[in-house]
Amino acid sequence: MYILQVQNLSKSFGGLQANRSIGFDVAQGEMLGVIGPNGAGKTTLFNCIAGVHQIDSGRVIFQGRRISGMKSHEIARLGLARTFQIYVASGDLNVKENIMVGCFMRERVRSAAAKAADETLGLFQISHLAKNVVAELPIAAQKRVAMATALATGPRLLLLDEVAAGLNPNEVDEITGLIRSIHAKLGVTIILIEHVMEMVLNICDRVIVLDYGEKISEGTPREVIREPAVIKAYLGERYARQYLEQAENR
Amino acid sequence: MEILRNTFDFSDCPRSGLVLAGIVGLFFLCFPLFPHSSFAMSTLIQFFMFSLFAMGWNTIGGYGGQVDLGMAQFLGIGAYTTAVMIIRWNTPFWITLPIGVLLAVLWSFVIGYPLFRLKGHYFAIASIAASLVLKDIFDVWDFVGASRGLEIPTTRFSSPDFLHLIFTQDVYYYYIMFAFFLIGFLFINHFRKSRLAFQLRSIKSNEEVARSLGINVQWAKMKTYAIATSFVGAVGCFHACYIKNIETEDTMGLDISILIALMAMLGGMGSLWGPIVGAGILIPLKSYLKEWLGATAGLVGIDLVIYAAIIMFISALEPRGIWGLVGRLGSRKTA
Repeated sequence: MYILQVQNLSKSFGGLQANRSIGFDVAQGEMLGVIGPNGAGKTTLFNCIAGVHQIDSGRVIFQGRRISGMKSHEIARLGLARTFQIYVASGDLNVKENIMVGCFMRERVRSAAAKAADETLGLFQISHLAKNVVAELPIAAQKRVAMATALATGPRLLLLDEVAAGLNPNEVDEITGLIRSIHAKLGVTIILIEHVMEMVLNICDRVIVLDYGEKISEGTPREVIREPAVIKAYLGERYARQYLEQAENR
Repeated sequence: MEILRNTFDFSDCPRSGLVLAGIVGLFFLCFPLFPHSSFAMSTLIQFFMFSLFAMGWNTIGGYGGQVDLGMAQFLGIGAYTTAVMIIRWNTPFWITLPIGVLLAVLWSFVIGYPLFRLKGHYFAIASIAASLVLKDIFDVWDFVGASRGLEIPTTRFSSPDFLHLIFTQDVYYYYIMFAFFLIGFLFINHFRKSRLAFQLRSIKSNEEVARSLGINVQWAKMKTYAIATSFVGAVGCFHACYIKNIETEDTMGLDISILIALMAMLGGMGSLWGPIVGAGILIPLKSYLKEWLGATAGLVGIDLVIYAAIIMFISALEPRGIWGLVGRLGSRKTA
């Protein structure tokens, strides 16, 4: 059973072809990585799936239902949540209120939303930050808030856009563990865009590689890092060898 | 149940603030019993009216971040509805009130639909334009008295007429407006904890993030605009009976729209008490400026210069207004 099917998706901005007939399927409960060099069209792909951009051609099917052409808030209500690469912290809302906005998608009244938000705060181990203003938190905590807010909407599919960017190795390990635990606990399917290859190798079941708006490879992380096209476009010889060794040793 | 609890729950406000608010409220309740000038009385009635305008504006402007500078058009719709219906058909005020509010809300949907496709300054400018266009229409529309305006003939009613809200003594208007004020205040106390208020604050900070959380941004703004305009429209209906002499310049002028927005900004946008604090400062200022500078010194229009200066000071020094300043001092004390 596929939770998401992307078929022949194309999107261009003026003369720039950001996505060129991209197709892939995501199984229920899977953890899929999307990698590729800067400007390869990864975030555009997320925006097309989430309804921020209207696609030029192709189809996006979510839980058996065509979502391409729908508005982003409608798609969100069907159970598809996402985080943003550049997380703009919410003005005067504190951490808990931020998460409550997510909870309010399913809840009608404040007491229910507050209760649901408390649970989410606990799950992300940020209960002690509940009253802080998001913008004043360190980046690692902000990323947690962003993920918690998206997850508070109770999605079936979660798109994570570079949640490990700007984090130090310890923090990367922490957030990797966090993603793994919410994936296991909540059974939510996850697609993540990531440059931190250690994380991708660690947690993804499958990876697709984009370059110049096209999908150039697809497979398990181990398969993908052996592919000459991927090494040439993204990893480079030295890092590919290094990642391969890491993968073998694991 | 939850709604009722939210309406009367002030537990998140500091105790000392609530005591102060209670004392001020008690003063308002007893004020007519003390010896007072009619000038003070009318200033207080205006304070209640403008507090309600600013509270309404604060929903869409403060919580939602959509700076509307055309609120006077809804004041005009309310005022003209009541005036026309009382003069032509002798309709009781309490029937004109829901109709006036309904018309204001309908108009808010008509202009809100295109207006909320605009953002930031473009929205503000378009809201000014919409308001001025409606004012110009009322200026040439014979049915509503065109540029002559309308006058409710007081001789037709024997004061106190509670049905048509025609009184010769201001004290009746005072208590009715005070009741409006309390109802509006309690409603805002409910509103600020509602789902819609949370959605608006999310929209204010980032619309794209708000959409990704399942919020229908356009619809949330239009719903809130309807709330804001029903506040302004309802007080507009009252305005007709209180002033009795309705002209477009007094009810739909740009200076009124700006004053409404300015009160909420000065007091503190997106807070429960801000609009009241703002009105409490600006209304006496406005009355005295008009009396002294306008009539005595002959400096007509100097009030606008002072408002402009206040806007510049707020945006440069404390964008969250006086209430933000109070909050900052309070947190410094506890820290």
